[in-house]
Amino acid sequence: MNPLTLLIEGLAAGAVPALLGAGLALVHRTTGILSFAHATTGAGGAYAAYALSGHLSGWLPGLAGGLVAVVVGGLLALPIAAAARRLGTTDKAATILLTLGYALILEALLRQAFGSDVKAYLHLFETEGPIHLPGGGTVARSFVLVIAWAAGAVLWAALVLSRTTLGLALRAAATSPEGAAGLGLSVVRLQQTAWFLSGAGAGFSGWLLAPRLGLEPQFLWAPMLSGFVACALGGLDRPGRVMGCGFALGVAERLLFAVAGASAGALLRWVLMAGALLLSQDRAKTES
Amino acid sequence: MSEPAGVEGVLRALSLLFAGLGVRWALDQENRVQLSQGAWAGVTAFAYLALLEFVGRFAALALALGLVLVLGALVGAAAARLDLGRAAALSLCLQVGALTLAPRLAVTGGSMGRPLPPPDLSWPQLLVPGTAAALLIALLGTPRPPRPVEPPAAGRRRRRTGRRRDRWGPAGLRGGAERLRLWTHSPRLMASLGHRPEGLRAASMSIVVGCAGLAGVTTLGRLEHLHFHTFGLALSFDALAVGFVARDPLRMSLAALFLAFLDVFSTPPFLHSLVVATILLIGTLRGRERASPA
Repeated sequence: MNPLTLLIEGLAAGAVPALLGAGLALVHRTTGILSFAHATTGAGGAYAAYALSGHLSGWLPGLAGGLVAVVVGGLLALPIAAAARRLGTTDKAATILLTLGYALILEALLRQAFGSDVKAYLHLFETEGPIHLPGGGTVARSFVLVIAWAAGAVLWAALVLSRTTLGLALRAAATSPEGAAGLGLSVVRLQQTAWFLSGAGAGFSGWLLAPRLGLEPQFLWAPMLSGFVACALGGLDRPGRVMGCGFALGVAERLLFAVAGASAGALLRWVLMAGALLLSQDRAKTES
Repeated sequence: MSEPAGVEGVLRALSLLFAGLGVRWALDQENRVQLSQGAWAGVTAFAYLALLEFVGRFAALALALGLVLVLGALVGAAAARLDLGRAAALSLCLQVGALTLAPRLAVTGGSMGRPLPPPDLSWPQLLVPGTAAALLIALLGTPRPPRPVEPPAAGRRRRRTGRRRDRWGPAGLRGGAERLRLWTHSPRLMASLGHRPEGLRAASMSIVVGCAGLAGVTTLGRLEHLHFHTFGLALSFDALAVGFVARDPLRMSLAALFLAFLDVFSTPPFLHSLVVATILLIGTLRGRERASPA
């Protein structure tokens, strides 16, 4: 296989885990909570975009769908922020349960509203057809579009976090909540913003991935796990590095599939993920 | 309610209770959230079915349970030093990975599943799994908070025979659990005393997945057709709910019966998920109590 094809397909496969992982890391850095509801909020955003596509025609649904997925994904993450604040717990097991419980409720609502069958959702920017690469290889147009959209989101997030007052405040609240509160910043509001941004990223990821996998309430669970692995490798409090690890993981997985074939590749993919989580334990020990 | 429906409900409940006991053990002894009970139950059930083609029922059961105990020990030892978040992610990774791989394996019957002999849903069929549940509860006992660490008295040695007897009985199991809890609560102290977590975590994980294994083989007793989705995330979440609902086995059994009969009476999945989510949120509140200073 052409190495460039492999690289592009790998980057496209890693784009969604990278975005999901960055959202997980952002929330963990700001609130200390590892959200297991991340996949379901993303699925909620994607379903909202799908619902919109049935009411509009022409080029508008594709554009508006992405926007709706972002907003709905962000809004769906906010109840976790409110519940976590109300509970005021620092017990990690309890917060994991909270997010799992919320994911179950959300998933049940999605099943009730849309059914459990897989829905085909092809939006405007998911056009089929190959692109010819230098060196003789080809790559599906959709892969390039996914990378372009994900790169745009990454760039936007990097700019917001590093160059804006909001980004500075978010980083301050993550580093020292007491210090940020002393400076007159509303830590609660900033934590809500982090949850919203994280959910928005999940909704966007769901919108990006829906054409490839089809819509189903649990369709983002496997990519979220890749996001977890990216977090474990990159460090739970470093969204930028997590994104890099997510893309690298996608390339590594694609390489495995190319070398070992589909069946062995599927097995090796999970071995790679479990291995990456296990390898990250030394880092965890150091952090603790 | 007819006899088959009643027996099916109780068998479902026993499956959930077995899996839930494992979840409870993981939480109490290791402070871990176990999310892959469904996968371990599935591995045991399909391994049992595969082994049945070569050996008798009891040998197949023993070998299948032995297999998951060894696998569980290996995973437990490998993941001994993972923190709670990473351990939960690994657990979920095993569950989702198993679900992804299951359709590719011949032993699961692929996406069609495997036909089973028609089940005998009469009350006497509950005798063996019911006794197993009672024994398991007696063996694991009601978990207790850790005792304070006491240094051994100088100049006194315990008799070796007594120690050996303790080690393999319920008291020995609880002694191991005690050390495991101490590892969870004060790892630096235990490390400074020369203990290593790998062995204890391996033993503990064996117990957790052994419980899931019993859930898997109990599931086989009520089905005419086995599909790998039977051991999906739903089973893991139900087990999580049963494990988190309470510490004492009686309340866990009641929760398992409630969830099981929701399925037997074909309650809408929405309601089932809502009940499980509510139980998990109650578990969150209990976690807040656990985390807050006394």
